Amino acid sequence: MLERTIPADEIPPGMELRHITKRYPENDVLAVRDVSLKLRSGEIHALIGENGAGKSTLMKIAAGLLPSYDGEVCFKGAQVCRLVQQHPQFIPQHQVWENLFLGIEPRTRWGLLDQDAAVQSFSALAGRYALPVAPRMRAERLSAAQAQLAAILGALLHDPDILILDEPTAPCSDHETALVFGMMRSLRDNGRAVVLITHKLREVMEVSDRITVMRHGRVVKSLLTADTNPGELSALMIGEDCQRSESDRRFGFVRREFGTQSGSHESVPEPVARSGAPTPPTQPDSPTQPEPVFELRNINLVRRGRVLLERLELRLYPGEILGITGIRENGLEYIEDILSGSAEPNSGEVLIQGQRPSRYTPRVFRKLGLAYIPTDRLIRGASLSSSVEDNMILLERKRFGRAGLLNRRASASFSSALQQRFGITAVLGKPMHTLSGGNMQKVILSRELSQNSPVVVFSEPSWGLDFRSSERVHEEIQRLSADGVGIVLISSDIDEILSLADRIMVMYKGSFTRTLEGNDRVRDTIGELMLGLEVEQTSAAHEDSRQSTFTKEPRQ
Amino acid sequence: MIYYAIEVMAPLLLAGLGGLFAELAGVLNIALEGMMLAGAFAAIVTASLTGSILAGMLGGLLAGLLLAYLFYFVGIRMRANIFIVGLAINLLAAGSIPFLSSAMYGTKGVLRLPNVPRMPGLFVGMETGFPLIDQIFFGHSFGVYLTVPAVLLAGLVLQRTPFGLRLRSTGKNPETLRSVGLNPDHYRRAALLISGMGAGLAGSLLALRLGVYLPNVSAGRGWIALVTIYLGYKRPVGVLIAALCFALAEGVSVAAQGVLQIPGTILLSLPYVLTVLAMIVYSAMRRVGPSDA
Repeated sequence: MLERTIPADEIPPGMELRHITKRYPENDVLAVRDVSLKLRSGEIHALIGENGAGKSTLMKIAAGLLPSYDGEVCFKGAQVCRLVQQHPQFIPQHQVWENLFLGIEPRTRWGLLDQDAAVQSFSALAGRYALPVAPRMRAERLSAAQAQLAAILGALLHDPDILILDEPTAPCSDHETALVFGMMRSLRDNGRAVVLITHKLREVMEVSDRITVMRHGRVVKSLLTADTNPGELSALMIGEDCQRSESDRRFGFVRREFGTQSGSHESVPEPVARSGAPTPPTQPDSPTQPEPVFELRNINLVRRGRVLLERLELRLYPGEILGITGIRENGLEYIEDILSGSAEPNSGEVLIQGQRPSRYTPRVFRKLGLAYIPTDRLIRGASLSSSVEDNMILLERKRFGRAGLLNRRASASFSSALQQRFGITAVLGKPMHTLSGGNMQKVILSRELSQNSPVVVFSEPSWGLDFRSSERVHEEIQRLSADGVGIVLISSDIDEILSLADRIMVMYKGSFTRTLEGNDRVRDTIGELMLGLEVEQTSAAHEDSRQSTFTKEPRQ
Repeated sequence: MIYYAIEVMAPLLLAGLGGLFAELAGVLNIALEGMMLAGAFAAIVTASLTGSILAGMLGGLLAGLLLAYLFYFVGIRMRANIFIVGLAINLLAAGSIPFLSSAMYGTKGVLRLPNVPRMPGLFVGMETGFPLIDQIFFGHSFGVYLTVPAVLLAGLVLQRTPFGLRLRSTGKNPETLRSVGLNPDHYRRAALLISGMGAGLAGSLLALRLGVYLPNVSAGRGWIALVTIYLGYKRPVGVLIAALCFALAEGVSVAAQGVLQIPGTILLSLPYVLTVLAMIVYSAMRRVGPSDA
């Protein structure tokens, strides 16, 4: 292994990575294979690829966070390279500035902590890059997007020559994304090198100057943004070896997305053809109308005097995919709690297959026939220190129990069957936390779906997954729906909702604004509903739209 | 009674403040009791050898420091289980002191050594004539007057210095510290040593005020000091208030012995009963309180 060298003059300002190879000895994964890359000053360089392509590992090496690797990291003299990692780790009870100035605390003449200096220099920086974060706010009160902005400002405090951002826009709304991009451009214009690690092709096309695509730890191609298009990038990311249909579909999406920007686009076409799915129940009064498998009746949720959910009505029919979407902090996280039985509403009723749960716990909801794939896989979805197999059989304890002991042979065959069916690449005996995000999600899916429940609630199922993993999850959702399972899909990803859902309900400030069906399912309309444009026009219109929501719902 | 309570408060508070540093650095120092005991013994021995109160206090402080370093070395450096190490140190102090005492002076019981000076009362003769004020402020032994600066100093160090920020960060999330290139163990060590000094000094006050070493002179005060940390919401001023409450309880129980027809043993258990009640109230308040606001 060669350590960082301070090289001769032939290297342009910026950083050069030469023949970097990194193997993780713990699980013997070759994460990065012989990668050479130049990060030039005055340039925004996008690094794209599926999950596990090696982007983050490579950039950790560039930032000096991984000590052991093969190859050379070359840069001039005293350059500062900072990496903003994906999930910023703050000390929740401490204020923002206390978190960010840890280790670089300004001192007064007497060696005391100089709070004012810290707060001032932070505010100055926040002002210069137009990233609105209050320095004295306690970190636990930051939203995920604000925490991301704060972490970026923390890196900027070091005045880096090279700034690497790992999925910086993942928790951001459009507005915050624009702020981050503005910051990146201003850094670039000041002659700094900026690296953007991302999945989102739209962002890449919008902000980057140069793009490097990685796959399986290798660089597939480096090209100028001006010379390429999303279709090509998508093909490079997914690779030629994968199924044609998958990539076709993905390209279709991407093109449509770009259509929006150029203004030539009116509506998103019908979702991809779904084999064998029953027609969604659009005619409320048709005689064959089945009973709803899942129902919310006038649900209200109030916590600490704040109305979080208001007058929610929902009916889900067998074989239907009901999409619920909205902008963050408009109630999506609370409706997930209501639908899964994790929170008890202050008033209203939940009916699962016509039955009222005796108590509001996920356990009771499960017994009544509901499966639940949570947003928060790490905490709610899985026991990270338990083995993969133990996670899979969690719901089947009784079946494998004999006289209070687990029948390991039966549970092993059960879990390996699930492993095959869901294509999980993992060693069943290894602890869950060794798995990649995609495989972890598959394990949770396999467990929840092994119950053959008539109702499945998915919340942000493809969050943090790469193309291929999320495609698999989407296929699974469609397959379930074809089998007559009722599905609630909570997602803040409009594309996901548009491509899967038969009906779309949009949340705004804790209420459903309107239900979109059939040809109403248009990106622009959803966008307007999410932003509350329609609701806030007049209060009368507000009442109207609400009425229409309810009358559109079939009533028995 | 109030005079007595203030005297009792001083060692409790010093031990509690020391323990607060350790607690904030994420190491629960359950060896406070043993450190106090060692401090008391060492204080009497040094005071006897040197004839000086200050040297005695220094001796107590060093004894606490020594045990704290042992705690650090085994519990943090060698990564042994903190609770086992803490218990071991308590047992070590409780077991080795009688041994040392009998080896050096031939007794395991009350150790009355020659040449131990009496702790002088300060500000004697400045009384105003108001009993309450006089009892609170004047004529106390030297150690009592250390407590107010100690509270202020603890607050200053914890809240207003880079060291304090790092120490608190260590307790909340050591990974954050590591990610900015600092070593959490340094701050854990510093915190433990500070707690050892506080407990050692507290022990020396207990013994020097009496002028003799009594077996088990700390009488569970190290444990009560731990409780004051939590009752004081992990703030120096809070620890002061909590320590004062316990000291008053002890003052009441001692004073009531002469007056009431209740058996003395029951009365003397009052501070310990109060400890249990206080912890119940504390946990109840946490549950309804603004913990997640």
